[in-house]
Amino acid sequence: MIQSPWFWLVLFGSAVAFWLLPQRFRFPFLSATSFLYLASLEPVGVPIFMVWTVLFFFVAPEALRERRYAKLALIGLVLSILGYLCWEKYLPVLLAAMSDATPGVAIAAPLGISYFTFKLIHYAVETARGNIKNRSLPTFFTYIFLFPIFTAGPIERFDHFTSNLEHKFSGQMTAEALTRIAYGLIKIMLIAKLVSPDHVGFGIPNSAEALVSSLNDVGALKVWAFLALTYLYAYLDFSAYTDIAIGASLLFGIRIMENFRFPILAVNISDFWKRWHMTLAGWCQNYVYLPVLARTRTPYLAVYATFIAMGIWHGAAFGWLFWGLYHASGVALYMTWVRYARRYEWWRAGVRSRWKYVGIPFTFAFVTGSYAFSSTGGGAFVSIQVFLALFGIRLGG
Amino acid sequence: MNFQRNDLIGFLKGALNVDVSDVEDDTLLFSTGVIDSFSMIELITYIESTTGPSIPPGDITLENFDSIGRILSYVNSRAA
Repeated sequence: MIQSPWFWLVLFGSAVAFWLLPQRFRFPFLSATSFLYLASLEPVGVPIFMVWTVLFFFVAPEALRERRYAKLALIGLVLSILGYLCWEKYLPVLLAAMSDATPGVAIAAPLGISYFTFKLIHYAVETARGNIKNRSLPTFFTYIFLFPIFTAGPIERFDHFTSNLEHKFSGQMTAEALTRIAYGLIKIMLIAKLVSPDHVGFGIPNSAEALVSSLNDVGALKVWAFLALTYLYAYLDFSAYTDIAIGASLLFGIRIMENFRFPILAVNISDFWKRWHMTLAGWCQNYVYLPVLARTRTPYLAVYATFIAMGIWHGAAFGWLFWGLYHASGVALYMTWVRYARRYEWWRAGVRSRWKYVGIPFTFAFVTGSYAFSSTGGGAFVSIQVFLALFGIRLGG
Repeated sequence: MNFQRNDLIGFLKGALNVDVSDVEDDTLLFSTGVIDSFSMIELITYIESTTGPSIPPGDITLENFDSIGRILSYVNSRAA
């Protein structure tokens, strides 16, 4: 989206108009602008999103008000929007896999559908919990359709959204917004390119396709190097989009949640998930991890359910499922270690805090390993081949 | 209702090995890693055994269990 001059024209033009309008017209204007801009990119999908948005806005509070049926209504709303997500994102992939469709043909789901779905589920659950009290149609529409964050997040919470609005224009806020956008652009156009595998050289495969096709000839160190660069590039690229989304939202006085906190400095895998894609991790903690934990009282099951959900949310491919299982296993092992170590005085006496930085390279390496599953095209066999190649094991095929 | 702040502090310190010297009423316990999931389950089981019936799964949220203040507020609202 940011590659298009049209995006920047709409952003700066609508920001100027937003602040020139009287306050009561600003959110109706911003929600309409966002909707029209997104509909110009996705003429079929976005109007359907509008129907869902109206349904959730009006039906959710009414259905959930009647205590006897509230639980049933909540389950109905969540399942219906998840069903729509499956229909658009997963069913076509499944049908293509079962038919003789040309392999490798990408099947595009409507723009931003995964983020859209998660925001609606958040709204329905928090409405049911009684945590959403102040709402209006223009505010809700702006929350759902705000175009700088629609396609790549962050996954904003509605309560955070409504309590972090600046109603007065200020030069300082605009300077902060433009600085954040500039950070994002510098990251995406200069720094990310420096670590991109197709720019580095040194005999490191320059793409996932090149890595896979030459897997039997590439040494384990080069596989590590390729996946580490892919991880760094993904971090810089994704966090740059987040910088631009946060800065662009601030041009309208909206302070969006942060999404990254230097994940490459994480001291363990649990810490990593408090630093990487924080809004997705937070969403999954609230709506997958804690509900599963509360019902089963089995932390390991909750961890696996959470990361499998995260993997499937990313994409309809076995590679993402394996990615989820891999991260879940890492977190489960770390939880076991902490539980064991906490019994001992040396751990409580501060060994943990003094030695924690030793964990940074291990965590980096562990996360690097996960890119064998997420960056190699999604095929089950190929992702396992690449992962084993990290340890010098060649799996024929 | 027979559940006081001191009971909770005593359980965190004695059963869960939490260093409570830095824990205030609004210190986030689960979100910041002061307690892990296993400890959270032990804590919930302890509260149930002390204060009465099982806590419904829908009530096990960060809004109710992520700090001493929130836990006491939740337990008191259950007893009311």
